[in-house]
This record gives sequence, C-alpha cells and structure tokens, in this order.
Amino acid sequence: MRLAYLLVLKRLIHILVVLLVLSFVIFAFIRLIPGDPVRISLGPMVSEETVQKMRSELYFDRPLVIQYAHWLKGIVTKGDFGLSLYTHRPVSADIAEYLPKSLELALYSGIMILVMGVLLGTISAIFKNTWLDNLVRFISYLGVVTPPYAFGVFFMLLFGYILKWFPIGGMPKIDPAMTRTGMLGLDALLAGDFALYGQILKYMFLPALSLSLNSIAYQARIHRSSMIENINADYIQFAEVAGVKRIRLIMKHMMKPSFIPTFTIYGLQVGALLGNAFIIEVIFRYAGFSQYSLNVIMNKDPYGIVAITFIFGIVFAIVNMLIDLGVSKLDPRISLEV
Amino acid sequence: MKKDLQVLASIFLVLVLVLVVGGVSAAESNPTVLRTTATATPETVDPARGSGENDNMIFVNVYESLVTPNQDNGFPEPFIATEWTVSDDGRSWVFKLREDVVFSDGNPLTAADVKYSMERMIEIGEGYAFIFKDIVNKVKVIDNYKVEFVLKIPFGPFLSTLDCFKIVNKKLLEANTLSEGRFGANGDYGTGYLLTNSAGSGPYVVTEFKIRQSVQLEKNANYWREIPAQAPDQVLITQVREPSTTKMLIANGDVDMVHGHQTKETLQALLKNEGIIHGNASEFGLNYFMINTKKPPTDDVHIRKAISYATNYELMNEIFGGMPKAQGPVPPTLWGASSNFDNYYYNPEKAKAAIAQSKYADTLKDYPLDLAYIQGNGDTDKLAMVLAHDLQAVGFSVKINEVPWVLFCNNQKVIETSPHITNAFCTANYLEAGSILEFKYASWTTGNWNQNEWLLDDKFDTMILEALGTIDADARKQKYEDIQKYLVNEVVPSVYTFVSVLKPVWNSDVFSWRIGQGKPHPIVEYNYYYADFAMK
Repeated sequence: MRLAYLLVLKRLIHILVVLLVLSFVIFAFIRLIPGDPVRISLGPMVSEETVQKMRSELYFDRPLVIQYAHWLKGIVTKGDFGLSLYTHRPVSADIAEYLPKSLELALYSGIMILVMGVLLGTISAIFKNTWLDNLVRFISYLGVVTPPYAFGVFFMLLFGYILKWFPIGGMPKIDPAMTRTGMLGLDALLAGDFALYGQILKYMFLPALSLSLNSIAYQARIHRSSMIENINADYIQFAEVAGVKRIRLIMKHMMKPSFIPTFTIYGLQVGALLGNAFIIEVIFRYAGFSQYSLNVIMNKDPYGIVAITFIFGIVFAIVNMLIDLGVSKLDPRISLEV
Repeated sequence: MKKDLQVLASIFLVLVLVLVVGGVSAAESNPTVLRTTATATPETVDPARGSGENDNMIFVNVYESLVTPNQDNGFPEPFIATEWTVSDDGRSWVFKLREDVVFSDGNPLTAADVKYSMERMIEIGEGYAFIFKDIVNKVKVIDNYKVEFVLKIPFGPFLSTLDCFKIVNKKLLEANTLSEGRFGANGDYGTGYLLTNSAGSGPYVVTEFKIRQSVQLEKNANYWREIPAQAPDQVLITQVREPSTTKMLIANGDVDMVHGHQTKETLQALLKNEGIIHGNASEFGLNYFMINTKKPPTDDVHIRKAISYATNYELMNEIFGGMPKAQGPVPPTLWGASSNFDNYYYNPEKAKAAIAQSKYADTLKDYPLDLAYIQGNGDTDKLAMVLAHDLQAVGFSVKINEVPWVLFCNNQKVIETSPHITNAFCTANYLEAGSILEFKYASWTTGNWNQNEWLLDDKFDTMILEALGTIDADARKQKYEDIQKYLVNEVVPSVYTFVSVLKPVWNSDVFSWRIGQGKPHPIVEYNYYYADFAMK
C-alpha cells in the first residue's frame, strides 16, 4: 500500500512538471501563430486604443516570461486561468460549465467501451472461428474504420429522425437550482429526479454510443486476441481437464489475465475520449468541453487554449495513473517501480 | 473479476432501464414558443459590446433607440425621441423623449439613461463605439425628458447612426456593477451583469442566455406599448452549425425556423419538408472581390477593369441561389445608394482589351494573382473558382488560397501580405451609404479585412469627409452619388458581385411574419422583431 502511495506521489510530481513545461510551450507557440487575438475578439472596427488597453490588461504586451508568470500566479493564488476572449468571462468559469458535461459523456462512453468491448471480445474468443466470431470480427472491423461523426449522423438519422426513439441532439432543461456538479445526469440523480435523469440519459445515449463505437470495436479485437492467448495456456488446459466448470473457467481463470492488455488500451482510449468528442458534440449540440476547446482554438483565444491543454494533460495523466494502478492490482507480478 | 463484471453489467442494465422509462415522460412543447436555430448566437446581450447581425437580432427585441428605421425606406423616424432639433452648425442635437417609456423592471426611461448609455458605450469602446467615439463630445441632460448631444464635428448621418445606440437601464446596471473592473471608477460598468442578463425597455426580456449556445426571450410584462397577443410568449434561439443536424431538426418539427446563411444544397433539402418555406431579405451588404490597388499588377486601373469585365456575375448569382446583382459599391437598399453609372458586366473581350491597355500587357504572366477566400464561408469557394477560371481564360495566372479566418484578418493588416484579390461579404454598420463607403475605402480604416483594396486615395478621403459633414440629407445623398461614380468609373477598387440576401427558412404552419408576407423590413434585423410575429 505504501508503494502505491509513493507511486501516486511520484506520478503527481511528474504530472506537475510536464504540465508546467507543456503550458509554457503552448504559451510560446500561441505567440507564433499569426493574428492578434484581441483584435480578432473585438472586431476590425474597434479603435486601436481599446485593443491596446485590453492587450495590456491581459498581459499580452509583456515579455513571454512575465505573461506566463502572471498567468501561473493567477492559477496558484486564485484558481484563475485568465479571461477568455471567446466567451468574455474567466476561463475557470468556462471550465466549470463545460468540463463536467464532457466528463459525464466520457463516463458513459467509457462504461459502454468496457462492457461492450469486453463482452464482444469474450464472445468472439470463446466461439473462435465460428459464424458468431466472424460476425463480431466483421462488426469490429466496421467499427474501427468508421469515424465517430459518421456514426453520429447515421444514428441521428435512424434513431432520431426515422424511428424517433431518441431526440436529435441538445439537452433537456435543468433547473439552475439543481446544479451542483455541472454533470446534468448526476445533478438530476442527486436531486432525486429520476424522470429527468432518464430524459438526460436518453439525450446522451446516441452521442455516447457514437463516441464509443470506435473504441468498442478496438477493445473487442484486443480482448479477443488476449483471451485466445490464454485459452491455449497450460493452466487453462489443466483446469479444463481437472473438471472446472466452463463458465468459471472463463470468468475467473481466463478473464483476469486477459484483462491486462485490454485495461491498458482502455486507459488510452478513455483518456482520448475528451479530445475525440468535439465533432460529436457539434453534431449533437452537446455543449461540452470538447466543443469549447475547438472554438477557443479556432478563435485563437490564448488563455482558453492553454487551459484546455492543461485540462487534457491532467485528464490523460490521471487516467493513465489509474490504469497503472489497476494493472498492478490485476497482476501483482507487474511491480510498480518508485 | 466475475463480481466486477456482474456489477458493471448491472449498472449497464439499470442505465438502459432508466433510459427507456425516463423517455416516456418527455415534456410537450408550448405552442406559444417560437423555436429557432441560428448558425451563431450573440456573444453577449450587452448593446455596448455587440454589433453583429446575430447580436442585433436580439438587441432590437430587448433594447430601444431614440429613433427607429422606417419600415419602407429605413430612414430614421421618431421612436423614444418624439422630436429633435439640430443647431445650424450641426454640432448640437436636442432630443425630446416620450414620457411613458419604462424599462422591463418598471423604472422610467429618462434623459439620464440616455446619457449613461452613450457614455458607457464610448468608455467600453467595443461594439458600435467606433461610430460615436470620434463624433460625440458630450451628452447633457437638459431635463428628465430632454437630452442634448454635443458633437465634436458636424456629422450628417448622426440620426441614422442612432439606431446602433441602444438605451440601457441606468439604475439596474448601477445596482449590478462590480466595483472592481476595467473601467476605473465605473468598476466593470455592468459588463458582468449584461453578459447574460438584459436591461432594456423592448418588448422582450432575456430570461436565459448561455454563451454561444442559446438565448431565451420572454414577453416583457411591463412593456410600455401593447404587444399583440399572437406574438410568441417565448422565443428560443439555439446555435446549430451542423447542416445535417439542422435538416433533421426541421424535418422532425423540433424547430420552427432556421436563421443564417445556408448553402444552396442545405436550403433545397430543408424545403423538401411539408410546410417549410423560405423568404428573402436583403442585407445592407454585398459580396465583394476586393482588389489590392497597391500591388503589381492590380495597382493598374486597367487590370482592375479587366478583372471586373472577366467576372461572370450571372453564374455567381446562380451559385448563391439567385441573388440580386449589385449596382455599385453600395448595397441598393441602403439610403444613399446610387446606380446612375455604367456598371461592369461579363465580357471577356473587353477584359482582354483592358489588359492590352495596361502597363503589364506584355508581362502579365510574371505577376500571378493571389486570390484568397475565407475557409468555411458558405459557397464563396465556388465564387473564387469561377473567377479564377475566367481570369485564366483572359490571360491571368491565378493561385487560389483558402485561408482560415484568423489568418485572413491578419494578412490584411499590411499591404505586403494582403493578397491581390480577396472575397468576402461586407456590411454597412449604420443605415447610410456613408457607412460602407467610409469603412471600405477611407485611408483611416485600412488594415482591416474589409479593405483589401488599400485605396489610400486623397481625393476619395476629401469627398467622403465632405459628404459625412453635410447635414442636409439631399445634399449628402448627392455627394454619396458622386463618390460612387468616382469609384466605379475612375478607381475600380472592387468587383461588386451581388447583394447579400438572407434566406430564412420556416414552418409556415407555425407562424407568419413580414418576410412571409413579402414585405421584408429594409433593415434585416427588424424582420426578427418578434412582437410582429403571429403564431398560428
């Protein structure tokens, strides 16, 4: 246990250093991109005096190091990521509004990826080289090669427009007094409004499914290979001869070792969900962090861009750390070096 | 592991169950809610900060001005101000206000609100402040319902500009002003409050504003005039940029109206749905090919004439679904527009003849033309391709560049990086020809993307300053006409392809409005005055 704590501590220090370097590099790169962000934000006709005033207030007219130090001080002392030129309000307010929504979408996608990916991979491995295996593999190929936005539009057309089972994007209204975490579904649950929660899930189902299908397909393929490797292992053959029931054999003796590569890849897939969600969020009118990220980049909003890079970095690092911990728990032979 | 999987499977099943059960209780829509989409929603509901078409669509419903544009010709007529006088030197304008106007919170609208609103707008410096900053010296409250604007210079179009000046509720904003902010003693000047709230006297109030997502308006219960009962009780405007989503929302009956510029393909797909129709509303803008007058070979007027003759206007209009052809540098519905001159038309032979007259006749191939258009700006890529094809046919060498918006703006900050030709829609800021002429061609407005021409022409500068300083409307109109003749006949700085026309799409079974009745308002945003809508 002590080892795990030390690992977490070491990882956190690593993350901090990486984030500091990353944010500084992003600051430097933003300066290299042509175009004055303040002028872009205020429009072509606003006087130069107004533009200069705002540039000065935002430290855009200072040397890079001073601007960076000012920004860093704001984060450390006030949790202030600076002012967004895209939304005209503090970036921290944008993060608080948009990030929980995307995290919630990623959560449901993550659940789908794990459950469906493992399920399909297991079925495919158990029924190896049968029509069922071939069907799952065909679906997996299809899933891997089809981009999420194509799924998004197709599902919207089929389930939203033709069958009318699901709404065509958007989100149901939620009473602002109900907002606690910013995750709409969780807030509805915390308020005990299960009908609203059901509605929210209904709105989130198609975007979450569209977002996860690629990864489900990939996960299924990885899990299938891993399971097949274990099916042929000596200890499984022995257990079979010893009369261990088939279901127990699969669930207890094959699943656990097969999970290590699956789980590692899963971490990468989940970590990338936020970044992959931007087109899905646009198509489904889901006002999340990915869509916000796309917009701040397109509008060259400096503090917005640094903040989203920061957040993506944190999410990726934390997910990977959790996966490492999970893998070591699955197989204690994989030692964690501190 | 088995247990873990069982837990995961249970969670999944519960989610599916809740999903199915929860869906049954979907709320029904209220018939007095007008649901509309827009390709962009406003960035703010602060009239001192916004100036785009999407901002104005909200502003006309929420705020009011001293004057209002006439429904037929757009010329200003009395509204909050019932009458006004102007001094002989054109520097003092005194307005008498109506005494029955109240803001949405019940506070009366007085001269103090007018003074506060103008001072606030100028100090914030955003939105339409650029119009007033160099004109308005000070605002004096004469009494509760009389206010004087003292101008720095005589400015003929002053009345026309007043539509861009919306009056805000001083008491409400002062009560919601943060002491810490960018504006010294004025703190944040209420900008934080107006980021998501409104403070106007119009027929609607903003009840919910989600930045870059949606705006919800509701009838103003305290409105000082009567709002027709058939006007929608609520209006919900949602930002939708993805054409496939727009098509499905309309087809599913989830929205009643689609605002914004759609591609021809999207428009045709939308119109296939039952009850869905579209209308036309001319904007105060044109599509321009802006020619850099300071770079070889387009620094030669004959080359610019050749480009004007090589442009296939009819084909371009057809690409955009049949737009009215532009008559000259000024959109035809804008007050002061003129067509009393010979405009250019598609004639490749005349284009070749003009090239032959230029100093680049023998060396034209040594000067390939950069032709730039904005990435993702509707069908303007097709316009650029058509022009490039026709220019090559008469002897030019052309390189087309699709440029991201940020880079497009940046390139036009200096002459050297401004392309030979750019394509964009440019729109007047206030309701007179002087507005578009000044910001497109005056020397003091160079460096912005609206003026790739880099005219820097002393004669033009003198003419526009004289026109803008003329108080008498008829005399000013004549001066605008002289300027347009000069531009078209002698300078040829741009190719004027067609008038920008908005083509809103709506469900005729749900509501009727002035565009549907074939009577569009000359000022495009006033078509979206929701109090004039009749829900069915």
